[in-house]
Amino acid sequence: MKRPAYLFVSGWRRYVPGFLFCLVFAFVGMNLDRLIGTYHKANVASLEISALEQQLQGMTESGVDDASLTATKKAIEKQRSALDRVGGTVGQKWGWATFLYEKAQLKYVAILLLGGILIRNLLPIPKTLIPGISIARPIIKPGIIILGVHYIWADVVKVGGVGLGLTVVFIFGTAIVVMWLCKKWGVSDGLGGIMGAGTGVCGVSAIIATSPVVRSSPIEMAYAIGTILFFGTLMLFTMPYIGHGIDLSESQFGAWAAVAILNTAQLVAAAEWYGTEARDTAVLINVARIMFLPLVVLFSLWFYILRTGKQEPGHEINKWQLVKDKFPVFILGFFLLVLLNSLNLESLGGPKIAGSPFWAMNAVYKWFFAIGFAGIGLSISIDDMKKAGGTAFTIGMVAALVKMVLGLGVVLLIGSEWLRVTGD
Amino acid sequence: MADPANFDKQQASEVEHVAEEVFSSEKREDIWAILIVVMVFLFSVAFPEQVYHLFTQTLYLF
Repeated sequence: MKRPAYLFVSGWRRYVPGFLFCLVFAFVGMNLDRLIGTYHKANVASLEISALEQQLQGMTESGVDDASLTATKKAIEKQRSALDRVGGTVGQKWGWATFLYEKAQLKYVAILLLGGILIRNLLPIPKTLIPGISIARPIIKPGIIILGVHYIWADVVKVGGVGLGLTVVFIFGTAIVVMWLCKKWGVSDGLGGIMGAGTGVCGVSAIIATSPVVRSSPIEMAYAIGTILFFGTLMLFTMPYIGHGIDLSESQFGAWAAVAILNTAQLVAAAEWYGTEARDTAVLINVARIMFLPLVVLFSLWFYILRTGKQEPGHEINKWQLVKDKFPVFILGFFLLVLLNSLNLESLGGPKIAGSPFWAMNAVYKWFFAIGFAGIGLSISIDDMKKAGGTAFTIGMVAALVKMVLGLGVVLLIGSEWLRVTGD
Repeated sequence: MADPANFDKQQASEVEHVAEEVFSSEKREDIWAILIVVMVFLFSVAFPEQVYHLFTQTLYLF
């Protein structure tokens, strides 16, 4: 039988050590997250149990209905079980856990990203680990596909429709402005083209997809990727704090991040960090965004080659083939799960229906994200970011910053309701 | 001295090669992502409780 060579990479063994390292790191990060979360819940329970018990006593004395009494008893039980999990007693305090979990927002996303950056840049990472670390980042993709069970078609039409509008305006707006400015300020077509595509669509993938069309050199690719990485990292760590600072709702933050953060993995990390509603909105808009990748490549082809008459005779470019080649196939899996979830099939259940297949799948995606986030954190090397620079860097950064500010204005105008994923 | 036209062509084909290689790896990632989800789906259909328990309890030490 013929082996599907397309699916395998030669010398795959060199990826194993680094990938295993990411798995272990993700495992540690997830467990630290659980530990901090458990003690935070115990801290809250320790404070609330006395208040709830007093409330229950008052309710019993004033003779309120049974339903209210049962609800309060259940709330006390829930808090007691949170306290039992750490073997604590009422009155005990774990303020450090609440500080880390609520104030510092030290959830698994932050643990893996910040921890990864620290490990990569402060510890001597053996070179044998580097290839495997680079393949952990795309493990986010199965997580994104599984998130399809969170949506129904009504969400796709509502949020995806708004997202599509935002995407068209911001992607093509940014791409056109960056390409035009680069041309005006004498940046080479190769660098201007990939910088326009990179700052417009989904960062590194767009740069790689566009580079052969606009004939970039490897050093130009390194510059553009360095810029995107630098900007994405900056946004990833600042936007959640800005969002909390201006009291942005989760769905608005998700949409804002989807407009401003260029790299899918960094976007998912920032939105997941902000909250589950933010992540659901961000993922849906991001899917709409990456569908435009082939069109941006086509646009670059027109802007740099066809429009200027630079196409070599006898080398006709098959545009349909180009669109097909650049289409991100994994989003088909995402849409298939959205479709199955929308059909409301009893055999598959839903993410909130205990014991159903979709409920089980919903428990898995976070682990894929954790492995991906471990990969992102461990691949952020300060030395790589130093590759960014020059006029194209300035243009790319300014365009991305303008997009971020305008995006914030637009999501504030749209409001939360149009951006919220209901999932039911 | 190297012919500049040849050098340009050589560099263009090098970029094309690097980009195609990296992009085909993106395609490979996409297909692997779908295959992994198919496996998760099949396990979730066959053993939903066990899958849920593994990822929400067993893998956590605390």
